[in-house]
Amino acid sequence: MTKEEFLKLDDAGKLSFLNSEAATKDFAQISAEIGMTKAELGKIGFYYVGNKFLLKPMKGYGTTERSGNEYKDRFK
Amino acid sequence: MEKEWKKQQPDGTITVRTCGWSPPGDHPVGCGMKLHIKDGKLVKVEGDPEHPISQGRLCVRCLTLPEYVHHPQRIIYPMKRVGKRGEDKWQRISWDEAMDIICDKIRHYTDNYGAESIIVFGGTGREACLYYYPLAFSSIGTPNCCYPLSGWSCYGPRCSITDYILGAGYPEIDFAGYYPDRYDNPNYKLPEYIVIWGKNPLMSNPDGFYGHSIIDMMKRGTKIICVDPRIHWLGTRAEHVLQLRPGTDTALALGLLNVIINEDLYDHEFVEKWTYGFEELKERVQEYPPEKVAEITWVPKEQIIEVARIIGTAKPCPIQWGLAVDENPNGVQLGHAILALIAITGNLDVPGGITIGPPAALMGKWRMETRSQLPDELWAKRIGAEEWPALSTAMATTHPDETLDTLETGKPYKLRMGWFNSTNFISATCSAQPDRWYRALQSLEFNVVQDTFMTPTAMAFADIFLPLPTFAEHDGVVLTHFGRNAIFMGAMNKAFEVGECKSDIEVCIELGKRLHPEHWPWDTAEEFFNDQLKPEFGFDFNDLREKGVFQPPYEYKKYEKGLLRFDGEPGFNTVTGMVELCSTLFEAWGEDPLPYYQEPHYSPYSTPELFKEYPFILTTGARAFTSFHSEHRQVPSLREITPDPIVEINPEAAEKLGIKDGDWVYLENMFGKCKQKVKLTKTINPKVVHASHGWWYPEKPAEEPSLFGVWESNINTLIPHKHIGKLGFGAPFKCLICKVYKAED
Ligand code: SF4
Repeated sequence: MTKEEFLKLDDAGKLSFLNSEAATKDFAQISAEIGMTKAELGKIGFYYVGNKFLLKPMKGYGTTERSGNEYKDRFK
Repeated sequence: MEKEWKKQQPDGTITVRTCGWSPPGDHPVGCGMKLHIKDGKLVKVEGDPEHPISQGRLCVRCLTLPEYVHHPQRIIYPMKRVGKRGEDKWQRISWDEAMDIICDKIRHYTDNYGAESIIVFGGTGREACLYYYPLAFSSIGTPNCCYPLSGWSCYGPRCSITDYILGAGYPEIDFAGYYPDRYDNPNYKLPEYIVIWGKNPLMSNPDGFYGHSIIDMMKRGTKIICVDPRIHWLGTRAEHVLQLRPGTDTALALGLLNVIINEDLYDHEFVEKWTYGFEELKERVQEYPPEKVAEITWVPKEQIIEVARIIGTAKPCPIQWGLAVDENPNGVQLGHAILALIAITGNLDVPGGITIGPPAALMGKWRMETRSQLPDELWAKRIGAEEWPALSTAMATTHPDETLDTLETGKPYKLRMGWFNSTNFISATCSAQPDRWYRALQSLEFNVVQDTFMTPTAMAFADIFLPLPTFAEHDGVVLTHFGRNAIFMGAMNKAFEVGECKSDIEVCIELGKRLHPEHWPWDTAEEFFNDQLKPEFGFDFNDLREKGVFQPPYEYKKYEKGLLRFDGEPGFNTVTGMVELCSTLFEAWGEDPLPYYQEPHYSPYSTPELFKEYPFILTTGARAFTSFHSEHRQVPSLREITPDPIVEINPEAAEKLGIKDGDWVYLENMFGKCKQKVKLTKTINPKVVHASHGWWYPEKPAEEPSLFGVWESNINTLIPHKHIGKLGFGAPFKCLICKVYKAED
C-alpha cells in the first residue's frame, strides 16, 4: 500500500491494515512499505509496541489536524 | 446568585460583581468579589458571600487591588522605545501607531524569513494561557508559542501525564465545587483523608482549586496527610507529614505502592476491570521495599507503612498533586505512580475522590484548535517538536529548552521577533538560567511586550510596550483548569477603565483582523465569548454575567458509562482503553513503561564530592500570599508584609555557619549565585534550604545593568538548563544543591 492509499483509510482501517501486516512483517518492513517513519506514524496517533500497532485516541498536537479531543468532536 | 451584577449605590458608588480569575492583579482561582467604583476609581474590594466557592472570602492580593490598579508606576498607554534597549527612554503612542508598527514588522519577517522567525512567549497560570496560543497561531501565524520554563515544569507535565495514562482532563480532588449546595449535596461524600503532595493550596489556589476548601473539609472531619520537604501551615494541622528529601518523591510513591499491593489493600474490582499492566507494576514495586525507600527519602519506614495503610483503606482518600510532579526530571514517573496510587485504591472519579475532566475540554480547547489555521509544513517547524515527540503531542508549544538552544545557535533557523505576553521571565519565574536567556534574547531584532508595569524583561527587550488591564478592567470567562476540568465557570466583568489598556483577547482580535481577518470574525470580546459559550452551554456572556457562576453538572464513574471514550464504550480514552499502570506510550517513546526512581542529578548520593562543596539541598518555588510569582512587588501594603526574598534555613544548620535570623546570605552553586534574607525555621530539615522565587526590586534603578536589581536575588540563576527527563519534562527546581554563606556587602 502506498502512503497516499494508507492515509486515505480511516483510523480503524489504518489500524487493521497495520496489524495485519505486523502479523508477518517487522516494523522496518512495514515502515518501508508505506513510506512512513516511526515519527510520522506517531504524529497521526499510531504507535508500535510489542510487535503490534496501537492507536492513541487523543492524538494530540503532532499535526494541524483536529486532535480528536475537541469538545465538539466528543459530543457531536 | 442575584441577577443584577452592577448596581448604583445611593452615594453614587457603582458596585460590580465579578470573579477574579487571573493576573494581572490577582491570581487564577475565580474568587467572587464586589468592586466598588467611585468617580471612575476603584476604592474598595470585598468578598462576595453569594459566590458558591469562595463564599465571601478573599486574600490580601485582591483586597489591595486599588493600590495595584491606580499605582503611579503603572503603564497605561502604549509606548515605543526611543532610546537604546535597556535605557529607560519611551514615548507614548496611540494604539493605531503601535499596531501599524507591529503589523509592518510581522509582515516583514514573515515575507523575508518565514513566520517561524517570530516567537510568542507566555507566562504562567493566567487567563492569557487561553490567548497566547491563538495570538501566535491565528493572529500572527507562527507555529512558535513558547512557555519558557525548562522542562515545561509547571502544570503542563501533570496534564500530559494524565493524557497519557488516563486519557482524561485534569484530575482534581473533589471539593464539591460542582454543586451549588456544595458539601451538603447528597451525591457528595466527604474525603476521610486528603493527601496533599508537594503543594500548598492555601497559598497557591491553583488553576481554579480554591485552597480554603481544604479547611472547609477539615472542619467537617477530613484528615490531612502532607508530603513535603517543608512543614507548612496545613502540615502543622496534619495527621502525618512525610517530610521527604527533595526530589525523592517517586521513590516514596513506589514505596507506598509496594505496601498497598503487598498487603493486599488495593481495590481488586477496579484493578481487574479498569487497569492495564497491574502485574508488571506489582513486580516493579518489589524493588522499592519500605526500608530501602526510607533510606532514599529520609522518611521513617514505619511512617511510610502507616501512611500506605491509610491510603489503602480510607474511603475516599484523594491525592492532590502539585509542583513536586512538574519541577523534577523524575516527575513523569512520579505523576504516573501517583495516578496508579489513586486508581488502584479506588479513588478515581468517585464522590469525594479525584474528579477527572472529560477528555474534551470545555471552551478552552479553542486555543489549541487555532493551530489548524496553519499549514502542516509550517507546523512541522515548531521548535523541538521532532526531538520531543511526547511533549509535542501533549503540548501545542515549542520545547522550552530547545527554544533557548535555538536562540543561542540560530539553529535550525534564526528567531528574529519576540512577543512577550505578560511574562517577566528574566526574573526568577518561568525560566532556568535566566541570565542565559537574557544573553540569548539579545539576538531578537524586534520585540513587543504586554504588561501592566515596566518589568526587568520589558526594560531589557521591549521595543513596543502594550498596556494590559487587570482582571477588574476587562470582560472574561473564568474557566477552571482552562477547561480541562471545568468545576465552575464565572463571569469576569469589566468594572472601570484605567488609561488605554487592552485585554489579551482584544489585542488578539485587533491584530488578527489586520493580519488574518479570515480567522477573526468577531468585533468585540463579548461577541467572541458569546460564540464560545452559546453552542456548548446554550447561554451567552450576558447570561453568564447574570448567573454570576455556572457549575456544570458532574458525572462520577464516567469510565463505566462510556463518557470518557470517543466511541461511547466504557473504559478510558487511552491506547489500551484502561488506566495504564504500564504505559504503552512511554514504551513507544523509548521510556520505561513503568514508574522508576531516579536520583536527582546533583545530590549527596549522586555527586558526593560536589556535595562537600555545596552541602545543602536547594528547593525553591513555594508560593506566598503577597505575590503571584514576580507580580505585586510594587504594591505598598503587600511589600510591607513581605519586604524581602526569604531563604528558609534550619536554626541548627545556620548556627554552624554563624548565620542569624534576618542576615542576608548568598546562595551559590555551580551555575550561579544570589542573595536572600534568612528566616530561621525548624520546619525544614537541617540539610535543606528553601529559597524564594520571583524577586526583583521595582524601587531600584530601571536601566541596564541593574534592570530593577533583577540579578540580585534571582534564585533561578542556580537552576541549570536542560537537566530534564527523557520525555522532555521536568527541571530540577526542587532538587539542586548549593552552599550558603553570609553576605558581607
Ligand atoms: S486567591 Fe486571592 S488573589 Fe486569587 S482570586 Fe482569590 S482573593 Fe484574589
